[in-house]
Amino acid sequence: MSDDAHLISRSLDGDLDAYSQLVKGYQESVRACLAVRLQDVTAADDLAQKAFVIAYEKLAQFDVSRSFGPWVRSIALNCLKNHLRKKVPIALGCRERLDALIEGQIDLRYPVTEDAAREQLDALSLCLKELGGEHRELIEKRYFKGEPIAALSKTLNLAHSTVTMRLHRLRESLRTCIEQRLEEVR
Amino acid sequence: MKPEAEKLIARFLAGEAVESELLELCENDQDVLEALSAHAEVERMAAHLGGGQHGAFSDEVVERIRGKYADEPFTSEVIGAIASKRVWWRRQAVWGAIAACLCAALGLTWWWGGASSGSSKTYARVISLESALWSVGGGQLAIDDRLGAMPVELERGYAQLRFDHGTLLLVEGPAKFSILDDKYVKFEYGRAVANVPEAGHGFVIESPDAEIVDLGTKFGVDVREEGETEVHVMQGKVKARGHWEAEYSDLVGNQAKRWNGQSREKEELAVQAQNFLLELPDREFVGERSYLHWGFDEEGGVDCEIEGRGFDLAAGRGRFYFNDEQIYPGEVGVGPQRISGVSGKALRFQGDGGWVKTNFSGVSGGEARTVAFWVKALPEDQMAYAAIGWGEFGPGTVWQISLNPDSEHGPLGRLRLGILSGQLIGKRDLRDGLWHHIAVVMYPGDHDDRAKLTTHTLFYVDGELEMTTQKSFEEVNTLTEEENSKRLMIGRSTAGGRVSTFRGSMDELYVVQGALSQEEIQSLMANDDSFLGD
Repeated sequence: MSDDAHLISRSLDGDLDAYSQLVKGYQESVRACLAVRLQDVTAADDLAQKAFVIAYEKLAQFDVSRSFGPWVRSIALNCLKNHLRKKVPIALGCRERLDALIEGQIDLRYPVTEDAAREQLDALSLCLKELGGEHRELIEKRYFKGEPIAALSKTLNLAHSTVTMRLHRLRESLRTCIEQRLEEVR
Repeated sequence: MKPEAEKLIARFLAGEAVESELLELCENDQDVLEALSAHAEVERMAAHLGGGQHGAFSDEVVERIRGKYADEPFTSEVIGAIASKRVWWRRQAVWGAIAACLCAALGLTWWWGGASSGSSKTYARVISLESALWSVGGGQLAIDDRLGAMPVELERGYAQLRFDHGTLLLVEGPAKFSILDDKYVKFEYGRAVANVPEAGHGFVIESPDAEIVDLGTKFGVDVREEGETEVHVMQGKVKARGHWEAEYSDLVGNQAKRWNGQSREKEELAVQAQNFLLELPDREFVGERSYLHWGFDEEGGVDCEIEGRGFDLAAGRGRFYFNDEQIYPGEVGVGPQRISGVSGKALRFQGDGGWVKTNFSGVSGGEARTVAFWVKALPEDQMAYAAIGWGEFGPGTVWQISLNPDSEHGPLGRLRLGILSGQLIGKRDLRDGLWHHIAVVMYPGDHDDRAKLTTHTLFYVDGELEMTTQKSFEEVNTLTEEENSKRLMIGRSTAGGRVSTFRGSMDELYVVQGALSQEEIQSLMANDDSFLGD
């Protein structure tokens, strides 16, 4: 019996510690899968937890001869769909239509059967370490701390448009770095 | 790709309102759409990495599972049948054997190990208590009582002890422990946080599974009856070992470990400071407390008069609303209904759009506060997130109290405090058709120790401390003066968009600037607010 099958069997007997181990093994994959699809980091993590709760409830239906990862990721994506459905207003605006187009692209790039999102995240993590101090600081301020462009512009004493384009170029170089890293692995 | 398209993507992701132009481009140019998606991906992944490792993730999942099925007997039984339960019985047998030996050898009536009753030397003093109930056999301890080498059993609540060398030990009941000397405490079970100054280095907490020796730190210990001990180091350093281990290992800030003495297993964990109340507040109050009180005792009409002190009374006056429309006198049957309450009249909200609007901005930031009121709800009442709320509807910046309306967040009908980025949920289903007195108390945060849901907030139901689940270690910073800040709403959610209103009855609402004690809350229950002054 594989490790996962053993943990699943114990979980089905009501052993929540075993299920906790299973969650630990797959949490990064599920969180990454949602993180690339959702702007709101907190909501992504909340949905990831919800997916594991649902997976626990449906564990008896899981075919242990298959891999647990794609199964729990597919549950997570269903949770995401329901979440987005609840948020969609009756009249769709340009913003929502644009978001839908982006989601469509991301769905194509990250099929549920693969753990691609986590690979990308791991690569990004390495790429961020390679960034120069000033650039890394800008990324951290904007994305880790969520500082608005206006605040960054004031702190850095740069025009709003300059900060906007600097971030754009940084994202682009990070994208290139991620692809190179993944290429090296392949 | 054209530079204009690049600029549009950059501006869109910077939050500028260029979506219509960009949408048009994306619908006509796949390259632009792919570039936009790639940028959005990097942005989201970076934000995710910024969110950290989320070490408590799996524990929170398990907690959600437990919370979800807390009231379903079958599943509870299944969950209850976890292996550790069996270990508990084995452990009880072992302790029982030890007890028998001790009793036989020493002739003591108290079996639990190490305590030498009869010694007059004392090592610590009780400095604060919160809803503490001591075991009858172990005697009742009050503030300023001193403790020597004696067994102590705290059935529930919190007790904070100060050792003579300065160590603070905050114990959370249920707990059973003995102080063996000035730097040695032995727990049979229970949770505690030790804050050890330099003079207290070498302070030891021992459990049936492990031994933790302070090397200058603040750490939490969770000794479970079913047989496991966890230590969570918040600051500084400890050395620790399982009882079967010859060598100690060091744990520093943000490290945690679990030992199981029965199976002789140990495991490294993510620190969960949120599971511990780190400090009891200083209850000594200087000065007057501002408060507002809505009695809802008017015989009719559409206004709710108030009394109080310190706050702007005129702003606190309430007016009936239906959705976003003010209700005028004479509009019969619309909005909240006046019913008989706990004291005089009360308001019944139908969940149909009726609520009470005020201009009171509420208590702001991380300032101490208490919200107390009577509530009555029926099992079939479906409630919005809406009993009481104010602030800006954003993560940590809103303050909203309800009876939990959404099973996704935890069991339904429990007292719930939500701040959007986190929540705290009580244990008891309050939808039983009876009046219940509820109080949500938050102690003040300060610059070094920001007010947080878990570590600074307590619930009381019918005057008793309510255990909470679904804890979040989120900072409370209620924004009351922002453009989008909502004034205190009674019976309506502060969320924008569709109006969500409360379904249930409410009476004698108090909002107090300050953390009330259990005794003060019980006074409010007894319709006595004289302690608040005129």
